[in-house]
Amino acid sequence: MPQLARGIAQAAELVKKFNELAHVRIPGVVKWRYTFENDWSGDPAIFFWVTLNDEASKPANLRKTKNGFIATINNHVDLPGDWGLFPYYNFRSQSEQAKLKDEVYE
Amino acid sequence: MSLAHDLLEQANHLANREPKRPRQASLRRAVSTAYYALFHVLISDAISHWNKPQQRAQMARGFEHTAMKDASKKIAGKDFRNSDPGMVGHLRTVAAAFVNMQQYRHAADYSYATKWAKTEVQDHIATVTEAFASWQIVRNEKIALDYLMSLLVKERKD
Repeated sequence: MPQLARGIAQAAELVKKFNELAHVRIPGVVKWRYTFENDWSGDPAIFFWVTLNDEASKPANLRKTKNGFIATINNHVDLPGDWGLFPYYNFRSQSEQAKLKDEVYE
Repeated sequence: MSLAHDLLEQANHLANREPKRPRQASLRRAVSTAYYALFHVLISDAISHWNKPQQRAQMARGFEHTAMKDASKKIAGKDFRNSDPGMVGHLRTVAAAFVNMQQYRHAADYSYATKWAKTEVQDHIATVTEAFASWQIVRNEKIALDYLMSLLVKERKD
């Protein structure tokens, strides 16, 4: 019988871990959210929705900003190893979000 | 240039086709095309090791998206203690990019709910570009050849 991912079975614990990062300033990041969902094939996953300032989202800066965000998460939690969740990261700029008004980023 | 490299170039073209107001259709096709660029770079390398060239096209048809994703996910937690850590890092970059891009490709091709921003698309194309570079470095290593095999042949537990 397939086991429920710890990140789903004990989601409140994982949320607590993320709350510890609420006041950590990550360069270029304006706001970040996450949702627990299955990926397209039904595997448990966590999706990050990260809004960047416009400067940080420029192609020349995007990799550095993205790597900084991912390192902050990875240094705090081992999502695939400890929580059984594969992470998917999505980044967009403040200007883009102002136009698209996507709920998952709000 | 190979099909895979042409697809990656096409993904870049689509992402930047309308510089000021990118159309959702262009952004979606860019993401999907970037995924297929990575899909084909792996498959073309895998079948190139089969020494009967006339059978390679048929062999290519044997690769399945879900099985390739499952094999790629296993790379993240696999123990490579006897391998060069640098090469392991490159392989993990490729495998993680494959898992990620398959998800994004699915959203790009099928999800009406997803609205794409150019930054997201450029990021995904950059992920594939990095995976191409890592694959070029690691592709002849044993761990890479084993990975290619795992994309086609499911690991048995017995």
